[in-house]
Amino acid sequence: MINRRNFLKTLTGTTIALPSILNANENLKKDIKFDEIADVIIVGSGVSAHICAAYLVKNKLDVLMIEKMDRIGGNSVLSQQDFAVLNSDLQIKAGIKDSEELFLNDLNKAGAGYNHLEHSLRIIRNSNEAYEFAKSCGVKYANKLKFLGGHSVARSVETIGGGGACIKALHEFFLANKGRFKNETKSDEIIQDENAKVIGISVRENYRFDRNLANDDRQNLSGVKKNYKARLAVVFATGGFSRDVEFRSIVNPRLRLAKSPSSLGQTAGALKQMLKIGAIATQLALSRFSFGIPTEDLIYGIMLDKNAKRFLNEDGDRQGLSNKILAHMQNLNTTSYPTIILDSTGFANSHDPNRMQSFIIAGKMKKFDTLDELANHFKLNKDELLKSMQIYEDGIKKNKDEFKKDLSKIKNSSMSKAPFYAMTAAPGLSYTPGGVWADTNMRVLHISNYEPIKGLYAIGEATGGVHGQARLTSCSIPDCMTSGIACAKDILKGI
Amino acid sequence: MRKLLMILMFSIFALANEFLIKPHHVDVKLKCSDCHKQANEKDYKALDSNACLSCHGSKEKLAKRLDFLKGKNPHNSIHDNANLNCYTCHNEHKPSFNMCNTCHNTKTWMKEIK
Ligand SMILES: Cc1cc2nc3c(=O)[nH]c(=O)nc-3n(C[C@H](O)[C@H](O)[C@H](O)COP(=O)(O)OP(=O)(O)OC[C@H]3O[C@@H](n4cnc5c(N)ncnc54)[C@H](O)[C@@H]3O)c2cc1C
Repeated sequence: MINRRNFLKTLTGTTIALPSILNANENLKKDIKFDEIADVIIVGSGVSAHICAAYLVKNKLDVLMIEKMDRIGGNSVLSQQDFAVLNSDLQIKAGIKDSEELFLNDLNKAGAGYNHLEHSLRIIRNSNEAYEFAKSCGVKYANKLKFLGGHSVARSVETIGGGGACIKALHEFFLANKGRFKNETKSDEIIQDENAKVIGISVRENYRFDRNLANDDRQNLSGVKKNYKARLAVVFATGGFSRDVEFRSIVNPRLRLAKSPSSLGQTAGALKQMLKIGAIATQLALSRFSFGIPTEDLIYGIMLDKNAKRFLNEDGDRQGLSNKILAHMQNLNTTSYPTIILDSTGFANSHDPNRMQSFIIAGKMKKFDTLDELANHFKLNKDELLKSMQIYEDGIKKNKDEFKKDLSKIKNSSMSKAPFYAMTAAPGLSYTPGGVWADTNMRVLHISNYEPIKGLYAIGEATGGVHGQARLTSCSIPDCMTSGIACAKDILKGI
Repeated sequence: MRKLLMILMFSIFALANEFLIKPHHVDVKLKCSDCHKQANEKDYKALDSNACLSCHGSKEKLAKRLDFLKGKNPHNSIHDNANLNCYTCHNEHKPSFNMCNTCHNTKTWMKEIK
């Protein structure tokens, strides 16, 4: 039980325990007592952690994987895990002509020059090896390819059962090969020896993440402190920071307003641990959004802000639209998301009406017989709503849209035929492209000399600079898997 | 500062009344010591899942009872299988938390959780 004195003590404890950032020397401890030892310690339990771990245990290393959450698998178990692969068995069987150049072209186009070429090539060249390795560990893929947006050919394989099934298979493989796992164990600090080589981590066991804290990393004091030693390497497979509102608002104020479908534990704590010992932070301001509805269907309707006014051309990709929405909300100084409205002609034009129906069943999209109901539900001013709809309709008649929408593409959709369909347009931050900078062997480089920090690796979403401005869809999984294998191979090479 | 102190004091007093027991557990006459095995109240700790399962049976059994929800079975979901701890969603001394609800609208398939 907490009495008053203890309670106040814990509170003051929080303030004095704040780490002094970039003071690496304090981590150079000599006579430290270790409670656990393993060849390799992997922090995180997502797909990058599991692929790396599977590769290492298959090669007979003693691997300890830790996860701060109760839940195994971070964002990886929420993910569909669509997976872009160059020259997979499925591409060959279907006779699809793909090439390094084509794939690279697609990645560069999405990355807009912010993506580092060597990492793009790492993904492309090793994607098939990673896919075959995942299969050999028991991950199952559907017998057909997906042709996804931004890709110039069909090249994405579909994970049967999505991320949940993938992590389940890999976890079973890992344990069956003598891998060791502890959840509710949080890495707090990286431990280095006198030569600045990473030799372990300081953790808290029996840690319980507290979603009610504004910043779990700083404020949560639960758990029992222990030190773990790694004979060969520590691997940070700690994912992104899309749920860390405090941190993402610092790196890009616009991101404060975004929602996030990510796992509750996606915070910047692990990133800060790496930065504290000299890792390089790169591209932290970038973002990748998901959207509640296929964005290609928005062209058939209108989007209205909280004043029931249109403010953009609804024809756009989710990245562009999300940025415009958040910028507009910033301008209006509001936290209310806009509303998407389709009338029944627009709804019927959507490219997958069955899927749209499923949104209604799930309660994500709502159907209204009258505009009164719609205006009430979304707290829109009815007169302004009617006015905006009228202006839009007039534009269609004159073939001239206020926001330069190409009306030849709207397949005669209108804004006057009941029933109406509407939903909130909330950009969801599902992926943070920024992170620490690593070489193609996934060794984390030091900010003072760009040399590898000995004994420290980072893989998967925890790294930055890989995808650039907008990550091409289905390309995180090949990144996570190829980086996991590259890291494992580099560790094995050093033995 | 004064205001902060007031808030602090308030939360300390609030603690004493916080350990209410849920109605369905009151019904079966559960006492604090039925779950918290420490001799002294001061040493009471948050429980792990095994404490719940000592009455409720195995995770597999609990999952089976919600099998009719198919892929949407919170005790055996497509994301987590049966890996979660009970306390990820269920709380005894404060309102429970529906984690599925952080991404999905669960109203159409799930009752409010106790
Ligand atoms: C809904 C959704 C759908 C997606 N769909 C796709 C898709 O179809 N295709 C695609 O390519 N990508 C997709 N993505 C993106 C992709 O799934 C993720 O980028 C990827 O799974 C990240 O894997 P990871 O191993 O790097 O990190 P994660 O899976 O996020 O794992 C990181 C883990 O590290 C843990 N951790 C963090 N800090 C600590 C610490 N200090 N101590 C201990 N543990 C810690 C976290 O709790 C977490 O469990 C999707 C993402 C989402 C959210």
